[in-house]
Amino acid sequence: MLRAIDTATTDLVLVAPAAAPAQSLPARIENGINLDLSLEQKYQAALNLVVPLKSPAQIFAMLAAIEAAKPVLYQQLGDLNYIHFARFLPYTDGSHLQVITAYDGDLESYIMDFVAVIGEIFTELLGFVADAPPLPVNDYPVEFVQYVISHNVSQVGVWSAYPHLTVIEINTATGS
Amino acid sequence: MPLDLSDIQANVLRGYGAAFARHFALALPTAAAGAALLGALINGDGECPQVSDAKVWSDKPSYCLNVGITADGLGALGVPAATVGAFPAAFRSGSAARSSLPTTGPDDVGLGDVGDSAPAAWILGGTASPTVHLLISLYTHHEKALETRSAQLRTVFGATGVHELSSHDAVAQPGGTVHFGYRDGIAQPWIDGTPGQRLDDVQPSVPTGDFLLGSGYTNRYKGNFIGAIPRTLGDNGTYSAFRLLRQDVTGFEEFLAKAAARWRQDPEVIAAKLMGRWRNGAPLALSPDGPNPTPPITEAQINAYDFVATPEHPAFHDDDFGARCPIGAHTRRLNPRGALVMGQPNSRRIIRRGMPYGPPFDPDHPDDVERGLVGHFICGDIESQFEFIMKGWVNQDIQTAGLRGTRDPILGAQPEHGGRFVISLGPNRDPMILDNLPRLVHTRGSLYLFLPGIGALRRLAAVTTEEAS
Repeated sequence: MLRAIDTATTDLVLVAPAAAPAQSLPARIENGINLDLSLEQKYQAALNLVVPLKSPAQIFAMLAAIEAAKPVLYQQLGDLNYIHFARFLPYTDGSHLQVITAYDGDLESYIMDFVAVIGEIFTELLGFVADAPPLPVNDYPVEFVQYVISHNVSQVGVWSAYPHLTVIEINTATGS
Repeated sequence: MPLDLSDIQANVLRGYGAAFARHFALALPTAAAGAALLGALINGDGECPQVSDAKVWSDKPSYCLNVGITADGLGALGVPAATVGAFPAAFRSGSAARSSLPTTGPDDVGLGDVGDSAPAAWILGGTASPTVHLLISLYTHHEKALETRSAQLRTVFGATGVHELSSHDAVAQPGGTVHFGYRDGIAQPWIDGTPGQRLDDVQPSVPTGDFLLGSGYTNRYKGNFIGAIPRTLGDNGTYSAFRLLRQDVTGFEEFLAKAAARWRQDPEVIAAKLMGRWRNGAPLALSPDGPNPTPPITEAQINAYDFVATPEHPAFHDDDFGARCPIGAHTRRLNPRGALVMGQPNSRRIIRRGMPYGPPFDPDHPDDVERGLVGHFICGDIESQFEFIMKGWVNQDIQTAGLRGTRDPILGAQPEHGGRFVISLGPNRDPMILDNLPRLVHTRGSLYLFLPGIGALRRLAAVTTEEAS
């Protein structure tokens, strides 16, 4: 199940993911790339975490913790080679934090790499969260993965200027 | 944490190096039968082979014996459902179910067990084959010992009422080669705490917890894979994907010949590019021009390489473009070492204990006799190691740049119209593109097994008839 914003109440609600459309035509393949695969099936998939804080008063402390962790966090995100970007976006009332990212590959396959390299940072940040999974994250990786998946808010759609490129391909092409 | 070698099954930390193997797939009619069999294997009274542990030996034992249990087998042994429920989902589901999971679309073949490799066609562990509870793996140096020990095991099977569903034999080939002609089993992960001297291998050693369960060990995620499994059952255990894989050797040799003719290359060059090593094991990264360089590559050097220069080894040749070893070569796909890849480098290791089955292939007299590879692929977590490798590195194309539209040339589930393999010739030259690559390895059977520690086996053997009922 995914979470989405109820437009009437602005609450987070559980919704069933939309069924994949039936494919009756042969896949369009160009240079080995299946153009019929949506972005969210293979590359630049969306992870839109919306997590409630224990108290809106703690939002600044949480943001400060993120700021302090930035050097390590950014280094490790870069070294993993599958995160396109990551934004930390608080609700204006401080009640929730949104972590908005795009990543390549399969979430469940790679999220454990997060645990390996920045599990301690996640543990610290989840200490501010109202419905956090069991902590520390390194000792409860399965629960952490389930938490992330259950707090991933689905989106209406996505547009990308380079829809079929991965982080590694972009960095390799640009020499980054 | 020091390893209790007496509690770890043999053939995990270090390979036994057998000439013969026989794997017995068993069904347990009752928990008491299973307990009786395990008791006989634990005690080993001279008339029954004993399960082997990892203690260091000075004289190599005449046989090695491993015991693996499926999730169904744990239940059949009387392990409470709640305890079985503590095991990871992949193990509990079993290999056939995991290979049958829905995929995201026509481009996604999951673990690659599709078409004639789908579980419906498996002769072991499949949806149409009998449920396997235990797999006993017997390894010997001599054929006579294999038959003697097999007879002893079958006597115990009969005495305990355990049903032998099937047996699967393997025979080592000269030089440690497998049916495609390559020397196999060269690069194995070195697990922290393993006794003995490690051969030079520039890859870092692997955290113990990546291969052994137990609350004292740490895996690469700084946790451990034992989870909620009781320590009395989980400590010093590990998991295995036991695979029975048919190799299309005729198709392989035909492909080599056609590709070589098309590109005016020696077929051995094509073979080396597909694998990432020459058939004698010399890595392309160290020996790009031939299998026998001057000076020769010693056994100590055969794994002392990377695909890129690293901070630890700045003098290594930087082959990031794949001009020496293609980026899509089998050994580079399945073990990228320090090369650029999604996720952590030098991770997702797996221990391979496979041996050839079927008669040696004679290229001068090709035949249709079935031959292939059978054995254990051992890891601490089936989903994040074995399945990740099969799904992400073998059958997908985005783990690094330069793989689009391709799957692993040796193991991959190639499309029906044939797969593609790209051989880079350098940054300013058009690559060689080999098309019509057929599927070369077909799955004939698969089991997900738990290999318990010796103490856990002893406790499982202590289940009484009353407890089992």
